[in-house]
Amino acid sequence: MLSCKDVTEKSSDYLDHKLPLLTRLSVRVHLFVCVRCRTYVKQLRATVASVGLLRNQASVSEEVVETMVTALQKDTSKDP
Amino acid sequence: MSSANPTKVDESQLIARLIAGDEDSYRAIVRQYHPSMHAFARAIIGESLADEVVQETWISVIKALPQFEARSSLKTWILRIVSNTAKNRLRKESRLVSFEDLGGAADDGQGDWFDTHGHWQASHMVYAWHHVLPEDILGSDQLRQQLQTALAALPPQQQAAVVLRDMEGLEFEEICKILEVSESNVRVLLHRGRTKLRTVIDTYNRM
Repeated sequence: MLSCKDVTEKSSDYLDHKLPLLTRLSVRVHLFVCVRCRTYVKQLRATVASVGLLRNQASVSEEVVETMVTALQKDTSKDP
Repeated sequence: MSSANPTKVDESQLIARLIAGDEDSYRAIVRQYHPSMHAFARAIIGESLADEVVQETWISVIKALPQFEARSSLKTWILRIVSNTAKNRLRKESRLVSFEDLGGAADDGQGDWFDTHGHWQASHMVYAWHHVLPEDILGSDQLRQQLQTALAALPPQQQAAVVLRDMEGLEFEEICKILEVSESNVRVLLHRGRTKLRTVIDTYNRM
């Protein structure tokens, strides 16, 4: 049986579906019986999702867009 | 019957317009990829040089577009150029340090969480958070700021792995190619980086 330490060490791989089948099943069994580890994995999943949301909410200002477009036009027009 | 992937078709049309120097297509591609490029460049080289690296990368991208063979997605190809440009710049700026040396200490911060049997220590109980939905977690400006700061403070390789996987949603195979590390290495980097970020949210919830 996996310990809580084992489960937390494998939790990132668990979320990415990167564990061998038997290990994945062992983690699932542990999570079924251990509320602390279940909470931990739930929180790690929420952390990953929050980082993803940070990216979705990021955008580039129109000022930067225009600066880049001008730089690209200048640079590419230099080439024959 | 057409089995063409619509994304590939869209990309090839976009690429053709970019090669032709179409201004609106320049705008579209900058809007689409600039935030990803900046976040990834910042992970490798830091905030102060990220803008310069991204600008340099854009020029390389536009020049190299005629050679793009679509063996990966356009985004992966662009991020690989960001990686090369940022690593070259890192070598110039700090001759003694390379990106490969910046994986961070082996410590994942979990050292004192468990007793000798691997059970949770009483001092590191796991308490449920007030919010577990990402929209609610980021609903707090203070926590959002703390999470962004913690991400920016991760060792460069950990930060790059988290950006590529959790922000950009890339597959492991693509991340390995971009970072030039093994899959097991990416997994370790993600484990360490995510563990630290979770601790930031957890600490906020305990206040």
